[in-house]
Amino acid sequence: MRLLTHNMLSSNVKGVTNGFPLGIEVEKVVEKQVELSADFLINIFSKIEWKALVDASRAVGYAELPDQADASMLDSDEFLRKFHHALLELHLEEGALLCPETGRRFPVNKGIPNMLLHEDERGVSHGGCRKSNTQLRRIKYFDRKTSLSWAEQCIMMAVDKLKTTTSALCKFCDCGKCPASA
Amino acid sequence: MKLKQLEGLVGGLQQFSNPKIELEQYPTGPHIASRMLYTAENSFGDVSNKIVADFGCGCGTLGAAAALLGAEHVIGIDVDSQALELAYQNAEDLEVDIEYIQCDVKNLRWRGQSVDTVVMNPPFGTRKKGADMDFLSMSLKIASQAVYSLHKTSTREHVRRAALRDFNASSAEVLCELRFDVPQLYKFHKKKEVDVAVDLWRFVPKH
Ligand SMILES: C[S@@+](CC[C@H](N)C(=O)[O-])C[C@H]1O[C@@H](n2cnc3c(N)ncnc32)[C@H](O)[C@@H]1O
Repeated sequence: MRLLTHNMLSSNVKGVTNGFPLGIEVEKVVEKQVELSADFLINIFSKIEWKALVDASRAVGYAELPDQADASMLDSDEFLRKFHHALLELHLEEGALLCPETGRRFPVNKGIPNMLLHEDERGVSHGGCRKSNTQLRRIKYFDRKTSLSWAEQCIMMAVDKLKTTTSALCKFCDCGKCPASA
Repeated sequence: MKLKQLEGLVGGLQQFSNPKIELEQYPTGPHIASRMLYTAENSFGDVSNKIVADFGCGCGTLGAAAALLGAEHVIGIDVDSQALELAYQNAEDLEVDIEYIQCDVKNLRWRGQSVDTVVMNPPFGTRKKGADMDFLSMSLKIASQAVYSLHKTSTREHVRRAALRDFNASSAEVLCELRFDVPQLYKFHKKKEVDVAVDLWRFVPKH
């Protein structure tokens, strides 16, 4: 995983408000040379969180980036070379990423971070609902229109459902997490 | 690179050996994949020198095509570790640099619109209703420039409405209608090959 990818990723654990930047635990770093494209670096510069890149590069053992950087430095070939190296040539091959708020560890193996969440770590994205059907989609629309909590929506949907059928409370969701499936 | 050359290169990639039905794992064929990326590059300039993400990368065809066309940084995302291993191997064989992340697309959390272009062949939502919409919604949050995606032609109006009204699209255009051969990977397919009409879409996200 390049540090460019690290600069984009945020912790996705439910309830985390500021999941960026992820901490880095290093077991193995590899370097892979790639051709430098000044155009790419100049374009990307304004999108990079500089401090996160500096800290990440130090974590993987590269200490050449300056603490502060501004666009005027892009004129310097030496700066571009270092920026390029840190951003694109250093790979976290083995290790982990750490959520800055909860400390949750996302292992990195063969350069691939595993950001899969356990069921209880997922947000309100209905990720835990296996039986997603039209009613679940209706909830999502609901979701955007109002700002009801997941629980409130489930209750409203259950009431809705009771009006049309006589079946027991809310069969449409069996995620085991929301009150409707309890 | 010429279109034929690109099609030839991605045509040599390995495909799923043990596809998982519930994840709708069928490969994006070389014909469609090469045309999709070739159009993105040559008609819109959305690939070379860009950051490109391949959502539900599977065997990794779309991301590989992007890398071959000169994308600076390509990230493939899939929920399935076997698919990622296959994509990883395919990238090695082609000698292209591609990054992978194992994640459910629904649960991605990235800092702002951090990639330029998303390319994807999402699950059509035949096994898990709404899966296609989850992909579309997330891609439009993460891309700053364009999203290229395949959706069944039968859902065209729904896709357009959802993209423009509910998700973050400022424009939604069908570039062409294609035939998608879903091979008979799955027992529940009665015919040998199911030929589905799909639209190749280009969406532009709002900023
Ligand atoms: C139609 S295939 C895409 C094929 C791919 N473009 C290729 O060239 O082989 C859909 C892919 O999406 C993945 N997938 C399904 N649901 C997903 C989810 N929620 N998050 C991430 N990936 C998912 C599947 O594992 C599968 O590889």
